[in-house]
Amino acid sequence: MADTLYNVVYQGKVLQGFDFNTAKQNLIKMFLLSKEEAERVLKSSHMVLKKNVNESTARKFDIALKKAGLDVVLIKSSPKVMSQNGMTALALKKSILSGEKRKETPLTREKPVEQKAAASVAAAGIKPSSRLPFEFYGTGSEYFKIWLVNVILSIVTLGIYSPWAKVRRKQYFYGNTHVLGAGFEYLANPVKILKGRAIIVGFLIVNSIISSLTPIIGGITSIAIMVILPWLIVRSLAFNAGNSAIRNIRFGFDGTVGEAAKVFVLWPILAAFTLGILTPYVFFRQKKFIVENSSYGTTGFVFTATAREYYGIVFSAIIPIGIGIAVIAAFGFIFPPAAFLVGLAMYLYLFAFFSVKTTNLFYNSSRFALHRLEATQKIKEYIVIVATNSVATALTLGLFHPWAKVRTLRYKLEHLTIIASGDPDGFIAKEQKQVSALGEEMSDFFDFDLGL
Amino acid sequence: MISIAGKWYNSKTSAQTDVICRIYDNNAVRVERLEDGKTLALLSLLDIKASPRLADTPRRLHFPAGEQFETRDSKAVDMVMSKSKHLSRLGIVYLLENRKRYIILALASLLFFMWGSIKYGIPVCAKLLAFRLSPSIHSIAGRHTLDILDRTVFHPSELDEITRIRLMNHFRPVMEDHSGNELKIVFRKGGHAGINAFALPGGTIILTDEIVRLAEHDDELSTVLIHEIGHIVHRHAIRRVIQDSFLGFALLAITGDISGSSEFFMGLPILLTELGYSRQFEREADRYLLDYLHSCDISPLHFVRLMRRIDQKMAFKSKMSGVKWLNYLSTHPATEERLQNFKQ
Repeated sequence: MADTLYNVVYQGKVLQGFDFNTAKQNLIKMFLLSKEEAERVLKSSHMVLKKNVNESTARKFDIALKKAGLDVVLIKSSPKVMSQNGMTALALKKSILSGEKRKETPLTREKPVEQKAAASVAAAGIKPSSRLPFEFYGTGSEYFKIWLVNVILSIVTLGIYSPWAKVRRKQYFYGNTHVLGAGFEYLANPVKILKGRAIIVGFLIVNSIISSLTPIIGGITSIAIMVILPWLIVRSLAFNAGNSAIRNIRFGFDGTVGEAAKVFVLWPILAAFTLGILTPYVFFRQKKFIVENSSYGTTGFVFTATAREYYGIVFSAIIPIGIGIAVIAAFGFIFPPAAFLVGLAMYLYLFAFFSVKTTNLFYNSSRFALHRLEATQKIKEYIVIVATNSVATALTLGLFHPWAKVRTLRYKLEHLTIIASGDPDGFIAKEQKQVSALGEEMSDFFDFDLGL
Repeated sequence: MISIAGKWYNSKTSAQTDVICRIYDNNAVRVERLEDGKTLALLSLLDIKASPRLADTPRRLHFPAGEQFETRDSKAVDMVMSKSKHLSRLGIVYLLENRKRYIILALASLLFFMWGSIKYGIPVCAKLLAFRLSPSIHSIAGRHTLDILDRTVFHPSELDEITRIRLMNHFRPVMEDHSGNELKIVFRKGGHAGINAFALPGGTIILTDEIVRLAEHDDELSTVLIHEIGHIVHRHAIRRVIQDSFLGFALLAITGDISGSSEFFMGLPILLTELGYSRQFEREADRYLLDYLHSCDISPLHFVRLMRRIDQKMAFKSKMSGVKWLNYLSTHPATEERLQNFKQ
């Protein structure tokens, strides 16, 4: 009924899954309220936020406010009440409208299916999160063909094709990875990668010639590489992130070289001096550096893990390591060849253990906007995959590699989910910065992936 | 006119819109919203770039203002883009990837290439390179290796002066025969390396105290020395380094990344190949020894006796020597196989 008017009423509490501060921040962000105004709203036990509006407007505010984390209800109103408490309503109305206008553009564009999705996100305001799993559509035999053609063309062209091969491989994996109803996209320019590789190869050749003739200069260039390493890492992360996109919005990375020098050179050196006691902490710092400087569009990622959690992983590995060493020692006396096999098994177990634990922790601690990631890999399942992959690859002299790669990636992606609260349409693109050409090129040679 | 259904992304937000992209016969392109038919973009096909076709991954049309049209209908995109100038050359690659006969041909040539380079290519290249490298590189590499071994494995020799001088005198005829190779003999306590002898690049030969004590006749040590000289004459140490780096590079080329990590002993084929190379080197050195022994008055049986004794000493190894397949995991050929030629 067009004439039925509604009041949007806040009931004095935030929705499950939100706390006072996030709700406050959301109000400030989404409705452009001042800090005091937001606090006043949230502290009240009952407040009419929007008065005498028609049904569709009321529903929009209902959705938007629930996304912000406020428990609101729509109550039918009669026009008579209008004058009461008019000031509050007016002040809010103005700011809500300006906030709402920004949201309106994507909302109205959507076709019915999307509106349903929007509605489900709004429903998620009550049950505050929805699960959006990653999907992987690639197959081993498909990738085998791509890989085979890549290898052959690289051989035939004496390596000149290899950048195109790399881009094609990445595009295959990115394009087959879907989430939020869209596929990922890899946009790097192979010509730039080729230039970068040429520079690096040239540098390595010159360096090896010089260092074999005069070892002292060789030593100096090695130190020089150490010095530019942080710069390379930063460029490389920026190159990879900047060339990855989903929904036509690119990722980004803006860590500083100074910070990179700290976490990738200084801390590791300190860790070496402390006999590795600091190693989990250094690992934690590196992950934090990578995540917190990454962004999707203008939205930055947040890393919530603590160093304590990384130490926890290491401590929980002590018992299996102890048991393994004891068993190996026992077999060492009785039947040495078995000790070798047990050693291999232990190596496999530890490899899977650390890989699974750190990956799960990494993703479970990464957030962007109101969304977070959830990784649920299991050590046992991962061991089976790694073991069968390794045996099959070894037996086929490496020809199984494409299937192995696809199997691993599928496992990882099928155990990765976005727990979304809020609107996947609202991410804003960033102005594209041009990363210096040399940086891109060189960094690509020291390819540095986020581990997916 | 061709109509393709897909998703539309403006370049500013992550919002997703269902659209239909219509390409008219006069090369005009119109993107219209599915919901209400509103035109979102209207321009010429010549301004649009399409991403290359790649398996069943989504295809994208990139619009000049940064917008993007994403679709799964790759065939329609190909049909449209064949009219445009921006036809990607990677179309040929897609063709290669999707014809069975090309794939079989590629697989066959890859296998042939792998076999050829492991069997001939890499060893031959390494040999050529090793003999072309300037002697200074060999001696620098040798010095570095000795430094590292001294720090990690070896201890100073505990042999007395008399034994050492006696041995050096005994070795003199052999050394004089190889005066062009700048040979140098050093003694070290083997530590973990135990009963052993090493040939480093540049002409340094290491005999461990353990092998010297095990020998019952000085000629037994002469045969070991000549075997090691065989390694030096054939430049095996440098060749091994070159071959290993070739193999590592080949792995990188084939898998595309070392950090592939899902196959944690991806290196196994490489290890097997390296061990195979190592056994070849041992055979080559044995052959050198045998040839040399024919030209002088040292009996080949000295070598046989010493090898047998080493075998017995290393109870662990001798226990396994019965198991044939373990051969593939050994740096040296099986002792019996090696000694066959020396007993005749």
